[in-house]
Amino acid sequence: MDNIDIKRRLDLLCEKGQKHLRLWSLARIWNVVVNQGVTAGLILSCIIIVLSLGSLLLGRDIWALGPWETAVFLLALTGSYIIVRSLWAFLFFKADRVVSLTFFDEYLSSGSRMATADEFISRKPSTPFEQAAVEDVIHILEQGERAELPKVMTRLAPLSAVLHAKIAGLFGLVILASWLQTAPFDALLQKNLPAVMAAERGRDLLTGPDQEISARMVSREDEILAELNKKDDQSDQTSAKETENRQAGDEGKSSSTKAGKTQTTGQSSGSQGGAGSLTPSPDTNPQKAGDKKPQKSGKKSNGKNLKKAAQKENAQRKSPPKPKAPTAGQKSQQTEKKTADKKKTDKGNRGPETSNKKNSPALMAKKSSDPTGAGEQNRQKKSEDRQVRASSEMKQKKSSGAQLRAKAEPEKKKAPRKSGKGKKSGKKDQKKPSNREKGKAQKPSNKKPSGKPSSRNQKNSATGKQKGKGVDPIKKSRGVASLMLGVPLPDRIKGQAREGYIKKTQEKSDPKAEKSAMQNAGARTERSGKIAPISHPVMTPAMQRVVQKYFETIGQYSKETEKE
Amino acid sequence: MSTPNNQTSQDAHLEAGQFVETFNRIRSQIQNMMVGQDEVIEGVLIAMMAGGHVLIEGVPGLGKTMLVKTLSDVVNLKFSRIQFTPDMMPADIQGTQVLVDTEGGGHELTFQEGPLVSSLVLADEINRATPKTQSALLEAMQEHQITVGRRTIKLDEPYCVMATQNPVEQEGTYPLPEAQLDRFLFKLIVGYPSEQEYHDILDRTTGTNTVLVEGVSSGDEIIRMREIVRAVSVPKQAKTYAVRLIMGTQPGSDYAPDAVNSFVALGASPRGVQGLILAAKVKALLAGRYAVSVDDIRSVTHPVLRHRIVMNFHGQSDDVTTDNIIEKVLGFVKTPDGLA
Repeated sequence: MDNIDIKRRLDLLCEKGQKHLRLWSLARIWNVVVNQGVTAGLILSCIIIVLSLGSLLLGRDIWALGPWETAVFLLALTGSYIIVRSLWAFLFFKADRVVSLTFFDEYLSSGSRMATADEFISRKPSTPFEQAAVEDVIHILEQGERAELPKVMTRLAPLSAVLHAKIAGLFGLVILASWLQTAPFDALLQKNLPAVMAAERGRDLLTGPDQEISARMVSREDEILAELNKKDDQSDQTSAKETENRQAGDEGKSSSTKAGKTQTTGQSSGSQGGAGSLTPSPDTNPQKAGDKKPQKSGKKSNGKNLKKAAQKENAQRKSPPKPKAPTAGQKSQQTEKKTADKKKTDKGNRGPETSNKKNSPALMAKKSSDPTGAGEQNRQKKSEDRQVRASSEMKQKKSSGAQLRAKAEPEKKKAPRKSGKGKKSGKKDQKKPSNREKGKAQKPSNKKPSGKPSSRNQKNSATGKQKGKGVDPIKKSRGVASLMLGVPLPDRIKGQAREGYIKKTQEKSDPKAEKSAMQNAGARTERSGKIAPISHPVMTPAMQRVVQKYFETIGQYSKETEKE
Repeated sequence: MSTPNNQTSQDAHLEAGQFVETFNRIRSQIQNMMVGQDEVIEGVLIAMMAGGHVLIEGVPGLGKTMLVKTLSDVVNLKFSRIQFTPDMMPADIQGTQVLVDTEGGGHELTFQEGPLVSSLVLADEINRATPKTQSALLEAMQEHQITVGRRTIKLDEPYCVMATQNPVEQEGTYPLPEAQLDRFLFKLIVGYPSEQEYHDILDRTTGTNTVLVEGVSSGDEIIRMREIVRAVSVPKQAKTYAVRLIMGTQPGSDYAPDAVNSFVALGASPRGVQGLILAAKVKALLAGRYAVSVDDIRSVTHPVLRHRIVMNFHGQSDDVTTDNIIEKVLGFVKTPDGLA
């Protein structure tokens, strides 16, 4: 038999083995098929989840199936892939030739003769021993052709831990994808989304305490205005001038107004440029000047401070400005600026004055105090200077209120008072709403001696998200100076006088005889001194009795001998 | 059957037959002297036929020295025995220049060969020698030559070093370095005989009967047998399996089980796979085959790899032996293209 015949017979045995190993082959690739199917299911689930989220955000129905349909679709797709792939492998996958012959070798215990011979035949035997190995398989071929192969174990290999995790992940993603299709989720989001978006746009971020502060400030302002109206009726002209100047400064400031008054709405927008707002002068308002000192450190004038504060407040998000009482000219300017401020405040500030105006409790408080509006008009006409004074005081309170707002979230406990509570300066609540924001801008800077930029920045950011940052900590000194201890040390340590040199001198001296008493010789007497102590052994009582008996016995013995 | 070389295949049949016959003859003569220890005897003969050296480890009194002495008598090889001591120097085993008197009254230096210059060297208690003396064996074992000064002495073939080690008395010993351990093809563990073997030992050694062994082979025949062993073919499947086994002993390898990654500091080197293949060839011939199979490689894995694996501290503290590691590797590495 030559190698060609051997090869042909090996081919027949190989086909026989491959047919018998079809199920075995399927079991070998089961893990691979399951892995591929689960991976496909994971990817598809992620795609559906992304589509669902996209449809929610865009407001369109990209994924049309419902929750149950989605779950069934995913699971069915994964399962069908596994089944189809397995069937394909069962029908068309063939065991390797070497595997098939090795199966015969193991069944026949031939020591890999068939597989070895097949390999050597395929590459033509090059050594005598390779040829001998090929010829050695002949008797094995006959056994293989006659053999009835046993059933091969078709037990599926256990799934790996990674595959288990993938399957669990697949089910989780399927559930998530199904849940995203549920009606409650859609309804919930669609229901709340407009309100949420509108609230985000129009709401005053500093709600609650700031509204309360504004309300209290407005009420307090009303009281102050009422008092001032009573006192000052004569200085309308001068106050009008002052108010004009102040309006210019007020308009430059961003102020949160508590609507109720048209003046306040026009002024509270933080009108930049301050054309129509009252601009108090430092001369006519000694309070302001005096207030400025503790409030604002380093600021030059009220007008500049107001402008700066207004600019700050426009950039910041602040509570609704307190209502003011501008003049007619101020009103027109304020209305213009109001619209302009509305646009600006819409960006980052706390809502437009209109919205604040409508919903602010300050407005409601003022309406309640003055439902007709006639008293407000009178005040506008007659007491412009008082408004200026009030606005200046309100500025101070605004600044304190803004500071409170800046600390509103962590310091809500402190917040629910009018402006000025948080202030150490303790300014009165006389500021106009338009100047409130100015004062807020000013006061933190006044309060914080360390840094204006930091205070302004804090103020600008305090209204929004950075509440609670508060005052800059006192700058701590670092470096060697901090290491110095204030321990007084003497420059010199008192020394002690030295003994000095010890001088030794030798003096020549003559020997001198010692004088002593004469002693006469005599006989040696007996010793009269005390002798050395003699140690007596300490005996136990039993030994003492023994010794006593010994001596008694000796005495008796001696007596007996004497008698004898 | 038409084959490229009909005669060569017939010669292969004859040579394989001769190999098996000689091997069995030598083994039977040794078994006449030795009682039991069949695996050790077969291992020693396989190592000799594969051209390697053997490290035999066992407690005293198990016949390690007698085994090697008997082998030398059976194969008619020049035998020398070296009893290593801590004060032994390399010159004591290699040889040294000796001043001898000449006839004319003069003196001359002649090289006095040491016990290392032999065919079959028994290095008794090699772990008692200093590393300096142990290193003197390295060149002889690897290159089959020794160099003393300017003189290079080629050692006669077949050259085989059989070293013994006492695992009990480790105090005052010098463990063999990895470089030297790697040069031994086999490490065989000699155990205690069974009860029946004790009786046989007593009958043979305490009576009046004396057992004589016959010389059934020679050095040239051993050389020829080594050539036959090297001619045995190795299929790709067996080669792949041997390589994967060696890689399985190396931590961090794809074929290494968790035990190897946890307890092994150093795995087998390429000398290990060489030893596996050479020893498997001898096993294949003894099984009547002309090519190495996976089963042949599995059967020689333990003696080939047990001294080439270095355990780390965790393994030593957990009392994990190299044989345990080899078992894990054998269970983890699958036969290529097999049904397992």
